[in-house]
Amino acid sequence: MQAMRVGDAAAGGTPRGELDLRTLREAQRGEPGACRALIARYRRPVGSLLRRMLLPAGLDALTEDLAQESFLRAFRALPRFEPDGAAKLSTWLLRIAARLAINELQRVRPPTRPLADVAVVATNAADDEHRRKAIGRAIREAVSQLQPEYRAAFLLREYHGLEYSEIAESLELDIGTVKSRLHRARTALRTRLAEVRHV
Amino acid sequence: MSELDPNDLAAWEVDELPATLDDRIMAAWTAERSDPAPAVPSAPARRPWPWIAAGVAAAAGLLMAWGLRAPGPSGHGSIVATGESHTVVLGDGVSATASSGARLHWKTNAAGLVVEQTAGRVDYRVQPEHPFLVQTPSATVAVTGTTFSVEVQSMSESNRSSLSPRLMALGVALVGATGVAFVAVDSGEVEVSNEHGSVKVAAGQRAVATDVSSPRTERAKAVEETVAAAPAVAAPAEPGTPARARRDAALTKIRAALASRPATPSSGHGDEEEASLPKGTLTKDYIRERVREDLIPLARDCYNDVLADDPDFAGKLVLDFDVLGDETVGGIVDGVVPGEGSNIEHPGFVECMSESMMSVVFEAPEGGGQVHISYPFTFEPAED
Repeated sequence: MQAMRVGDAAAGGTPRGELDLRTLREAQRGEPGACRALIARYRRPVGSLLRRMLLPAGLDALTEDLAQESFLRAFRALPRFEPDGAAKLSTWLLRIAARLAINELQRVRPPTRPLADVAVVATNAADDEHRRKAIGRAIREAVSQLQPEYRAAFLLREYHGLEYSEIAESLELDIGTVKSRLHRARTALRTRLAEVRHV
Repeated sequence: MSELDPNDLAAWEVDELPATLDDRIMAAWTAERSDPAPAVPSAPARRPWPWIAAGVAAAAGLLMAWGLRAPGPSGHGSIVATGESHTVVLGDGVSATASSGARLHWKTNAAGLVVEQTAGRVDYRVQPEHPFLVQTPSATVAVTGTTFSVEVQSMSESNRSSLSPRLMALGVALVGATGVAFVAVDSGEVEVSNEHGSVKVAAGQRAVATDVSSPRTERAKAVEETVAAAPAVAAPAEPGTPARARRDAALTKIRAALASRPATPSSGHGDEEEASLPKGTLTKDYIRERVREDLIPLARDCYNDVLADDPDFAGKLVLDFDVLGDETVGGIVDGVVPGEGSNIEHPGFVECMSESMMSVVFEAPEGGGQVHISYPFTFEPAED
């Protein structure tokens, strides 16, 4: 399975281009070929958001199920989507996926540990690959400390480039609270990453 | 946009959803559109098994429930087993014991009982005359009068390291796999199938299937056991996995077995040791089938990795390799090198393809011995 990286051509974030208007219109009419094209176009960002939401809670096995449900819900609501509206299709889909993931995480409520208790995991400061993995684990651990809605906010902001206003609206959160929570999360994460780099 | 270093963010890699998910979603969407009942905003639907679409409305409340639910009046129900194992009667003559962590949903339709098992281990007991199906993300198990178990594991980041040696030893493709199902039969016989193939599993046998490869049975396991019993061989430096060590041990064993046979004329390929090996035969159709089944999914991943950095990357790669085999051990790919006619020199890609080729499992050449193969591959980006 191919791993996704931010910055890759196909990035874990938004796709290089939105679905073209003609295909979108066809998908809104329920034409199978267009629906399939829509899935293919947005499978990566939806999948990466869901995995990063669920993985820290040990619920990675649900990713495909929630991705499927995200697209099914999107198809049901697609006739009402306005291509000329404020939200891009990718943002609209990510909101659906984020809400589903939040619901799932709130249902399970796995135990969490305070950030200070998480061990620094770098094993070999001279090894770039080890350090890279340690950084990845540090980010994952930091994300796991966030409540589901702020976890979604962090991921939508950092990995998918959504604006604060879009995040606040789609997750029904106060924009000021979103900014302050994410600021705190970033500060804690930067401290952790500095530790990892100096191990 | 991002307010952290993108390079740091990129260090948290996650697996991509499989492209096969597109088919599942489309199947579920098509089924839903043809049956208006599931239009209820349901709890997240599990995999789009054909039967589940019709049952979503009634089962929605159960699908996400934690704990044990008894079968409903219409013959459907769900289990998400937590804590101790649970035994439940799924239908006439069929009972299942779900271990902690197991997830299954079942429904009776016109074709009979169908069980969807998405996680964990479940032991099934089935009376004769009560055929049914167990569907997992990786394979479907058709059952008649038997006792058997099915264990479903996702190839998640946390599972991959522990499952990899077990699967590679069985010659099962790993790259691209998102899930695996292990089937063990105590009595009777079951048939395990997926879109890549099917295999019958008899009493005392085990089978394994992933979503990217055909199911395999005990025969492959016998290879593993033979190899494990071979003299210890030092693991190579980087590949250094237990599976690679076992593969190399098998190669040593095959070479020893073949060396004891009468020598045959050199094929003109390879060193003196290989020149002394007897020549075997494998049909072109068989070789093509094995390459398509085992290698192509891996090759696609190798290619996609390169395309991520170079979207225009394309060309031809010819892989020259040998299949060495002995009937008691099986066939092993060895000596993989780029052959004449290749115009791809990307070191990482060639290595990825060569390593992938070495994971392909062949039968031993007829009569044992060595077969030299030159196999061309053409790579070009798919049209967007």
